[in-house]
Formats: sequence, structure tokens, C-alpha cells
Amino acid sequence: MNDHISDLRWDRLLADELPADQRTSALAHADGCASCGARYRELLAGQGAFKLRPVQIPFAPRRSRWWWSAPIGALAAAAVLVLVVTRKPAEGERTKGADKPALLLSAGRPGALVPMMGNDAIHPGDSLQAGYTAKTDGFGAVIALDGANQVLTYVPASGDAMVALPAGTDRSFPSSTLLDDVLGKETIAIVWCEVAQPLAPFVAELRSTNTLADRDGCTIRIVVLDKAAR
Amino acid sequence: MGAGLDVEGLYRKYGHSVLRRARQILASDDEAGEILQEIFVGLVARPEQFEQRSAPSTFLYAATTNACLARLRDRKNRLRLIDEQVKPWTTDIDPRSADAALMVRGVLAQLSEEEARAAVYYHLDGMTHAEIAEVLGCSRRHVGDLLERLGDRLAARKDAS
Repeated sequence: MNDHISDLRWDRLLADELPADQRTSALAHADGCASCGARYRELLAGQGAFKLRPVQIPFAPRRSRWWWSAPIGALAAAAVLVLVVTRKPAEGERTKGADKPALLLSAGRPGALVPMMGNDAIHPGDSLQAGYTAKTDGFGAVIALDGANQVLTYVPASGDAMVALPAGTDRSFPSSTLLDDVLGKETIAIVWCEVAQPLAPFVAELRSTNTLADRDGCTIRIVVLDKAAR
Repeated sequence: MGAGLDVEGLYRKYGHSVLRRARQILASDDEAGEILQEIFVGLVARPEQFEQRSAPSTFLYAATTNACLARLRDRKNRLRLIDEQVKPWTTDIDPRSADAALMVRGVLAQLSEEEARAAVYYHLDGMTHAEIAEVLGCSRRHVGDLLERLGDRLAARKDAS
């Protein structure tokens, strides 16, 4: 009925479903077809805008996460930073790597996060968000050892690869975590590294030693929180 | 099937498409957001519904269309749509034009389930017959028959109005 490229085809292209030859063909068509070129750009923009959309879907049985954009997350992180700078690290908390990126942690009821320091209280149902300020691009992860002695990876949401963290001030890690009902001490490790590293060694170390040792090229912040019933 | 389905990954990769199409079909941001939530929460609860025999895009196109049509068919929406004036139908319009989208949305709730799906794919998504056949799981010939029947029904509606 028409010679244009359907939205389905564009969606497949954007999702990397299309074979290379079909992808090339579609993009070549868009170059010569004003209507399809405009539609492609429109869908591409929509895909980008979707990443800014906060989402609250319980993806995992125990933990749920949602994503927000760096700019949106930065609003929360910025608020956190203002409060954090007025507080000194508490006992049980350490930040490794002098003159390295500043790593922040906030938690609380969704939409009302407050900065967390060592031994602060958190509660089931609270959300937890890590933030950072870094002068250079890096990679990061947030790992936790909960009261049941289980190690959980909060960031990345899946996989064994650190997430990319673009340089910036008061930025958020790309996902937030809704805390479950396991009570007790919860050790949160926020990790920033110059180059991406596999998470498995970090997870294994946190499980066996309850902490993470210094690593070249990485900045690590350990915060031990107390999760109690509300 | 469905075990180990990476719903988070699907959401990140295809969520924008689900949301956009739901907006196109329902013409409502709020309802589109609800459809997005409904589909992915449903996948978390029942991952086996995606048997992974087709591409995720194919599955989610069908799931979104079905969810939107179901919503359009509820009583409240049906009454709202019946009150709307259906614009005169033509078959040579640009399938992706705003006029076409408005027109198709206006009559979706009054079509048979199969005709409504075909109308969405053809007039809102601008799909080819082959693509529609793939998503509907039928032959291209059947798609042609469906669209022809759809055109006849809409022409009859136009004459009657």
C-alpha cells in the first residue's frame, strides 16, 4: 500500500533486531525519503525521551528498580549533596581514593530521599539511590550485603558489567532500588572505576569479607546502614 | 518457556515503542502509561505469555494492540467513541497521516476484533501486508481480505451516516 518504512521496521531497527543489510537499507531509504527520515528521527527522539521516564515496575521478586535520567536523578542527587557536605563521615563508613570522584548515597521514601551516612536507619519499602560527581567518564556499580548475608547487585540492574557513568556534577547512578523486608545491617558498596571491570570479583569479596579493598583506578565508598522495621 | 525472561531488558529496549503505540491508539497519555505498566507488570507476573517463538517486537506489538483494543471496548470508552463523529472514510490516504489516525481511532471500538487489529497495523503503524500477516499470524491473502472487508464496512458506515 505504500513505499514507506513502517513503524514496526523502525522499532526493530532501534531494538537492534534487524539484520545489518536491512538496517543499512532502511537508513539509506530514510536518507532519500523525507517522510521516513522524519519518522525515524521522531521515533529515535521518542526512544531517548522514554529513558527520562521514571518507571516503577517490580521487575525482580525481591527488589524493584526504576530508571531515571541523569538530569532528573541529578535533582535528587543535588539535594543530597547539599546535605551531605554538612555532614562528616560517620564511624563505619569510609571513602577510598583521595581526589577521586565523590560518591553519594541517599535513601528514604520514594520521592523524599535523604543523604545516608554510616549507621543511618533505613526501612523496608525505602528507595535507595547512589549518586556521584566525577570529572571524567567512568563506570560503576552498587552492591549490597544484606542482613541475611546475601550479596545483591543493585546497579547494574542485570548482567555482570558496570554501567557507564558520564562525567558530571551531582549525577545519579542509572537505577534506583526499592528495599525489601530483610532487616539488619546492610552494607552498601558504591564503586566507581576508570575502566569497566567485571562485577564477580567485587561480589565475591563483599560476600567473604563484608567490605571491598582498595583497587587502582577505582573509588569505593562503603556505607553500613541499619535496616529496621518502620 | 518464559523462564529467565529478561523483562527489564525488554522494557528498556521496547518500552518506548509500547508507550508510543498505546498513545497512538488510545490518544491518551495517561491511558498509554497504564497500558505500558499493564503489559510489563503482566510479563513479570507471567513471563510464559511470551513464548519467544517470535521477535520481542512482534510479541509486544500484538500485546499492545490487544490491550488497547480491550480498553477501547470497555463500556465507558465505547460510549465516548460512539459520541464522536466519524470522519468520511477514504482508502487512498497516507496511512500515517493525522487524519487517518483520528479516523481509525474513531471507529476501532465498533469493528470486529480482527478488523480492529488490522486497522491499527495498517493505518496507525503503516505496516505492509506482510508485516501485518506476521504479527497477526495469518496469511498475506487473509490480511488483504481483512483490509478489503474493513474498507467495505467503513464505506457502508459512511453511506449510512
